[in-house]
Amino acid sequence: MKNLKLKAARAALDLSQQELADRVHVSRQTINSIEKGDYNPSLNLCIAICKELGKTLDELFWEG
Amino acid sequence: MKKALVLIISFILVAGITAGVFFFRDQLMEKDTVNFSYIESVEVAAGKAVPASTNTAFTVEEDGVHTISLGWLPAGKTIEEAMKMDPSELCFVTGCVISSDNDPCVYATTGGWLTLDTDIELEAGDYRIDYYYLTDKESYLDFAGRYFGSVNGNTMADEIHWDQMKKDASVTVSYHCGVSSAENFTAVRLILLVVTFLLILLIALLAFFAATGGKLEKFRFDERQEALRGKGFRLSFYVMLGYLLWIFLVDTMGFVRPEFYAVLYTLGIVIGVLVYAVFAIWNDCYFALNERKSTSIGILAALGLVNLLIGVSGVRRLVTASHSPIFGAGVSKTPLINLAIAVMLIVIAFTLFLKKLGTDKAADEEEEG
Repeated sequence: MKNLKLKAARAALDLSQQELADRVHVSRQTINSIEKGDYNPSLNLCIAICKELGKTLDELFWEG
Repeated sequence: MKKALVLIISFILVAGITAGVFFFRDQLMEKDTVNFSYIESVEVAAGKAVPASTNTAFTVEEDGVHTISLGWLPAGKTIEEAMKMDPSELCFVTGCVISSDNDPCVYATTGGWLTLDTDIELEAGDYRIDYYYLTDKESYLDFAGRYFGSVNGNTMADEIHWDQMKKDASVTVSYHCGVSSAENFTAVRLILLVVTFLLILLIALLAFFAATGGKLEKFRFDERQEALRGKGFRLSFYVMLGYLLWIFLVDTMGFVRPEFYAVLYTLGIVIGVLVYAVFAIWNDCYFALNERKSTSIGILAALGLVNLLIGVSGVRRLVTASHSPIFGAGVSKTPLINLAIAVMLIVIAFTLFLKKLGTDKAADEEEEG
């Protein structure tokens, strides 16, 4: 399932996939895979992404 | 820019050294081999060569390992030229026996099986080589099946009009053979080995410093890449095991010649590496996050070029020389594994290119979306 919340949060900060990837020390393809729902990130990576985007885990990764 | 220039120069030097080693090796061996040729008129009557065999003699001065080189095509003919000859002109050597006063069979070929450039132990003394000519279709098929099948395809025997073998003809054959002390080469080989190793080590160090500034940074992959690389390792491992099992079964059925064992089994590693590389490239986990892609691609390209040069020069020598070192000391002397590595690197390069196209497109879509 696509993670549109993550994509929206990233776009809201005007960050490209590459910029977010650089900030959380992963490849652009990994961010792309998470947004497309092809890859389930580890808790550590989820937290790192949340911190960079100023969101909570619930806001980005909880399906509700 | 300066780094790239140093890298390019390094790669050119490696390629030059490789070509130089091949050139000098051939030159040195050419000088050192004592060749002796013989010319004989052979009558072909009703498909039979008369005489069916001939002989020549040689003397070994000192005890030790000697390299026996046997010409196996009519003098001055390449394989392709020989293939175009009228069957009544065909007079391939299909076997030989080396004997001495003390031993009626010091070394022998069997069933048309010629082993060329073979190192054998010989005592000082007089020796005699008996050559046996192609005399009928069966011996030709046996011979051609072993030596020409992989070079010019399996249709070779079908293109020959065997009825023409019944022609009466007089054929002048001119073969050469040589016996030389293999020990004469040892010192030269050793020097070449040490010098080339040191030179390539030096160039590798220079290239390393040029590319990294002397700092060795560990390649870093993210968690998704690590997971996929693990999958890739497992997949390539199973593919390699499958290939080795297949080769084992084919060998058990008697389809594999022992001379090709080394090449065929090493090929398993090449296939495993190729599967891993293609899988990793396709899943974006081939290059580390902190890896300079251009440097890595440059090194792969240089390695591919060097292996291609070695492979092509080996095959070229095989096809053009009248005296071709196909086998020696029981293994294939044609650098087939270098060709396989070159093909592997070309496939990797092609995969990188395809992936780059796909990545650019995906990046465009992402920016638009």
